[in-house]
Amino acid sequence: MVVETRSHGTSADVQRVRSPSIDVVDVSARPSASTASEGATSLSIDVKTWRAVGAWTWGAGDAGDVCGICRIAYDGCPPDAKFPGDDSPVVWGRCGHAFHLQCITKWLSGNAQDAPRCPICRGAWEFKELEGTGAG
Amino acid sequence: MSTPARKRLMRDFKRLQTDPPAGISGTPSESNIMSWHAVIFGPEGTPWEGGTFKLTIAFSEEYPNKAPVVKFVTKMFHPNVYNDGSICLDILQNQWSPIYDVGAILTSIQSLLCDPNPNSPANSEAAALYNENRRAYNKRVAAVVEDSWMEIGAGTGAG
Repeated sequence: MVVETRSHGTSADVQRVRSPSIDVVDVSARPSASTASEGATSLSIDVKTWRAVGAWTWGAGDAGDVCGICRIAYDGCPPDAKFPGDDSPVVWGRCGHAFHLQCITKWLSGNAQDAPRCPICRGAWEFKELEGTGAG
Repeated sequence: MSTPARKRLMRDFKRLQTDPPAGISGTPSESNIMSWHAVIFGPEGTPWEGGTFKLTIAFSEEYPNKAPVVKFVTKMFHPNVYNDGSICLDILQNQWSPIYDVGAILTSIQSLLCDPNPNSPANSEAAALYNENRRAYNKRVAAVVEDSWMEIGAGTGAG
């Protein structure tokens, strides 16, 4: 049995695992002996190998939703990152609004004049701690 | 060449084309995506109706973390527009947010036309008339609307 998954060490809030596709590679069929009465034949299947593939996505908005700052998909690659996925994490504020980490960091660092504010609701920005990420 | 600001402006342009807000239009200049030309149409049912007001928008490489500089090219008569066309609007200054795009900026300016903020006058004569003699104010606006047609004819070829 070969199971390929890509795990990301964060909470279920961050990742939403799509249902794996199971590919039955090798199927053998044979008549079942126990039900071979009155000419009826049934088949039983032995699954010899199967492969499962998992995919994950940031659980921010709906599929195809974009980061409000760079307007690139949450699953995509913000302008300052090289790769999507682990290199382009999505972060939440306590207000519930989500941005690419790179995008919100740049915004917060460029506005030293007063308290950091969420670009969407203008409330005080505080990073939301995700369950399961641990404090350490 | 493809900086974050330029990438974002390409997306802004695409969005303006696929989902254009009513009564505004904007295009980057042919040679420089950081410099845009825009037109705001005066909202119907207001003294501004029928006017076509031209603007320029100049972006910096810090966009969208910094607001662009927006100026009317068309001669305006409005409490919050300076003589040189500069606009006094909070979202272009201290209330800027990086979630705004070209469409949002132009839509905000369009709504400023009929909904001026008399508390931060950029044109004291317009502000005074707006507060004290609305009829005279509307006449001045009508003159500006009429002048805006002349400029369209005269300004062809200027880009």
